[in-house]
Amino acid sequence: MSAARAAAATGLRPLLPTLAAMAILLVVALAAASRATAGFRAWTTEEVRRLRVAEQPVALSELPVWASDGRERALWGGDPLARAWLVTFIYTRCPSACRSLGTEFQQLQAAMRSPDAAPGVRLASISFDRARDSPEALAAYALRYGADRAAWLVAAPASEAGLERLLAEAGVVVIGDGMGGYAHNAAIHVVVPPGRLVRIFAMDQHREALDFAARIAR
Amino acid sequence: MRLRRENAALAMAGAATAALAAPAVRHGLEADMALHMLVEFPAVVAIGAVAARGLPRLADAFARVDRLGLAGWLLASLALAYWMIPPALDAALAGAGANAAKFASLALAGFALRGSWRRSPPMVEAFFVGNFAWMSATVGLVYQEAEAQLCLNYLADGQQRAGRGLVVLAIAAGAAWLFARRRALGIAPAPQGARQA
Repeated sequence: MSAARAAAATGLRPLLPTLAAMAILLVVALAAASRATAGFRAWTTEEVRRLRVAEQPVALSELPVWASDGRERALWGGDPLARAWLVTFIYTRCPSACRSLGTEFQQLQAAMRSPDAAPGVRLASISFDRARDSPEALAAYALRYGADRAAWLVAAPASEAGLERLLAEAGVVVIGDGMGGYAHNAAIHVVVPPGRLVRIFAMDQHREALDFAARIAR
Repeated sequence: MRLRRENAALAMAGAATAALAAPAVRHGLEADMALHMLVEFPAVVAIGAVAARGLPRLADAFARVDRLGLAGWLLASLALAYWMIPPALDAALAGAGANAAKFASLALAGFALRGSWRRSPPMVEAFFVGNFAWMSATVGLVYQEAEAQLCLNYLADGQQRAGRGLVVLAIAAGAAWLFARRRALGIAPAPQGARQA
């Protein structure tokens, strides 16, 4: 006699502990899956990161950087006139994603020059390639994209520990792309002094990112 | 004799766990999405199954809440499904706690399956194996279709390979089940004398 027929013959009662165990398993699994996917709304890590930050801003530690002008300064509160930062992560040798980020920031910089633009918005391109991105390399990058020093900071964290902490806090993952470069979350991060990551926009939403930052800066 | 066999199983599971947990091996496997999902996951499930052989009392205790193998098959299905979710896979790489949860849940799935496999009628197995094959194939196709990186830790080309591997796994799982149960399913004749009315 098969096990199924045995169960049918003795009724449902012997099955109850099994059904209870299954119910517990389902509840635990659904809770875990819901947590991993921000309530079944996002199925990639980057989408989950953006949703979480929008709902619960993330605190960023103070970040000493060296800038393309060779000077050190402290983000995010070092500039008293800055009310909102638009931040991207770059490495200056990057051939693809960061290059388009550069041109998008160029467009934003142009938009920020218009008379009705909010004065407190700043752009920051932060390099995660500390080994290669010396102040000279950063200066070359700034020159290539015509970064105006007053509006657009091109910089690299002054210490490896500072970089690691920033990436961990912001949820940015940098991996080798197998061709000597890097792959990483390409996005525009809105950071409010003295260090609160409040929103993350996709690269092609750079206008929305600027509008959002301008509303904060006003 | 029996005790010795149990201890041997436990020693084997322990040795395999130690080998898999060694940083060089683990990082090597987890650096590649396909190796992570298609080599490390099955290895951990197998370790759980071997451990069940070494812990018969615990396996018996589990049997009480595993009529028809239902709970064990469900546990295995849920554990495998969960770790196919890209953010879950990324979390396992980002934190030791999540990775420990991954190892524990997959080992537990193997532990449970060893007993469930004996208790489950073919109908129950058909449901869970079919469900797993469908899920694995679907996820595999999604991984291949996606143009963007789904995981922050894996490049798109690794994702493609993992996707193809999951489709192969789906087919292999279905085929392996049909083969293992060929007699009960009437695909192959039962050996003489074993047939029951």
